[in-house]
Amino acid sequence: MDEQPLLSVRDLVKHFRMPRRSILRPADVVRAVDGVSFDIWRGKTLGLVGESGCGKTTTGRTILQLMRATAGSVQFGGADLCLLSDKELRRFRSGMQIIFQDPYASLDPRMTIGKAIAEPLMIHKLCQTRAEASERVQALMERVGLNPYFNNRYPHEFSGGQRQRIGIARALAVDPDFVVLDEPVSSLDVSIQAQILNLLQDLQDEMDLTYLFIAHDLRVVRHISDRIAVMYLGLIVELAQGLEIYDAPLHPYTQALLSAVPWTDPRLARKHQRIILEGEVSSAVNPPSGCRFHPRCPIAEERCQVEPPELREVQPGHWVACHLA
Amino acid sequence: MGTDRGSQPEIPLTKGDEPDAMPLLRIQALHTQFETKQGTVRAVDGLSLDLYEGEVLGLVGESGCGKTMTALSIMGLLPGNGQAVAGEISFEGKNLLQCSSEEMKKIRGAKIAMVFQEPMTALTPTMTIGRQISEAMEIHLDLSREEARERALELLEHVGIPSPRARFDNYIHQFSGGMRQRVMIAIAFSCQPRLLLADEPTTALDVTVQAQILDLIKQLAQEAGMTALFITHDMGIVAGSCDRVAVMYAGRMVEIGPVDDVLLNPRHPYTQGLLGSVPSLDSNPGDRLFSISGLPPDLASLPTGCKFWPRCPLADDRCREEEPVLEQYGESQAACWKVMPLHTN
Repeated sequence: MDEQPLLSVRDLVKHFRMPRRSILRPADVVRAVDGVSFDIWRGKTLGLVGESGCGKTTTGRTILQLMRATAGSVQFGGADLCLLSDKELRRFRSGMQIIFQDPYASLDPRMTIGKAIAEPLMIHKLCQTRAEASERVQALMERVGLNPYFNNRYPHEFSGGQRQRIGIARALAVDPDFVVLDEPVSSLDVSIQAQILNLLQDLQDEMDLTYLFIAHDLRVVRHISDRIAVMYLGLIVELAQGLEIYDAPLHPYTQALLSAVPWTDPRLARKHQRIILEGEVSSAVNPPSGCRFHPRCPIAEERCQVEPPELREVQPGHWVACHLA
Repeated sequence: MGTDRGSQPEIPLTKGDEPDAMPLLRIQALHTQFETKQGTVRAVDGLSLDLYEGEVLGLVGESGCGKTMTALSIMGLLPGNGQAVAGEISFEGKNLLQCSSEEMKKIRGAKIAMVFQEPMTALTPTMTIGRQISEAMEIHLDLSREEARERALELLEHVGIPSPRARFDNYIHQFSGGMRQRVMIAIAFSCQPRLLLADEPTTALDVTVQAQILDLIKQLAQEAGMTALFITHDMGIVAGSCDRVAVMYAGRMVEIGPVDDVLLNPRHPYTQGLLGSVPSLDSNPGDRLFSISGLPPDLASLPTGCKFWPRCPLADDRCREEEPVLEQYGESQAACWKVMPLHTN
């Protein structure tokens, strides 16, 4: 891993200002992403996991500059994307794409899917003629497992899994290097989920794609990721090689998350001692002092309430933000 | 839950083995259909299922396989264009499908309660949660308003709502997802029903909260010796929470048996496919997942023969023409012409 990473995120911060509720009080600020750093190497997948509201989706969108960061840097293709103007960014847009959780909401219901897949090709001027574009669309549809015969149909005529294939074809039309996958299979049935995961893996191998795979299902993330980062309340609490985080999780939050995974082997399910966390995720408006996990942590000490732990490398390649790990 | 039911020793551990044990609920050849512009949708198509006292039965399958419609048929809560057109659902000596709406009102909530996936749509937004819990008890248990309030407070505390007295007069939108589900569970358990139908009760929740809620339902059901039908699409939840599991496909049952037997030794190719589609802890990351090709069938125009054949890797001519029936294999039953009856472990 000594070569240059394809993407380097450093101290990424994204705060949202809420509408003021009173002129006497300052507006609340949601600290959705509060200082996140990681690298992703070419052809690899970083899995980003955490519960709803932990900031994983915001991280993905801020990296792509779909939302502009409050602070921090994103190195990609020799530039810091956070410093570029919207116009300068255009040049980088075809190199990075996103696949959303709900492909129905992200497709124009009045545009045939053939047109939807061709649109990015035309915008980025990757095809000169209409005939060339329609040939590309046909090849893309075939590649993602859609019958090209259906290119004149509308999104509502397709099932959830097929719509996700359309979303994938559209994202890959511009031949990107880097793709953010934001919960790409979580709204699909298990049998369809497996089809889409297999497709994503095949495409990664063929096209040398680099993925940021955002998900809450730790079974899926284990399957697809080379490295995994666990987020809690806007911060990465643990980052390691895929299997290491499952075999020897160091952060108490990671341990609890893993113990709650419903594995399908009943022997395993009975043997596994569940760590049931107290309470729910705290608010990102006023995150707890010290370690943000301390109010729910089963082993928290006094120090955890005051001193925020830093993400440190405890074993080669295994990073954790916990005083007690 | 496995077989650990120490608190109810009088209940036999494996009910399926005893032919004389009367089931608490017996569904026989249930057909539930919907009239739509596309034709008749056969949501449940000849389902038979027994639920024995004290057991937790998992009902699994993908969206549209008829699992929710089975539960709604039991409750008599099918949407307007749907109807249970044939079959029988017997509960305490009555055929629920023949009950008048007055009779069903006395059974719903009191004897059979249901926990839904989305508490926001299942609960009334304009009524305080305290009222919603005590209302059912006033009607079914004939309690006074004051008594019902006291019991509602106990229930809220029992399901883990912090400071129940302060929360009693709150509305549902003032609760988080996990807390909303706790409120719905409190309502479901309030009249101590004999049968609990839980329809994907944790699907909308985060993993750590999901574990809290599953443990809560298990603990409460065990305390009350309640029978439960757990509807889910997640085999992992079945593995951790159920005694038996029934797998549904296209409105019918394709496999049923004790959880360990079905999950470790699946007979039906669909069950095998469902289990193979979920990445497991001992699989190698990067390996291709075993996936079921194609899509679930259109319930308005089902294929002939076995409904799974268009997606089945083993299908032959017989499967395309003749519909298989459930046959006994070891402790389980499966409906497939291709099952090898050789599994012995």
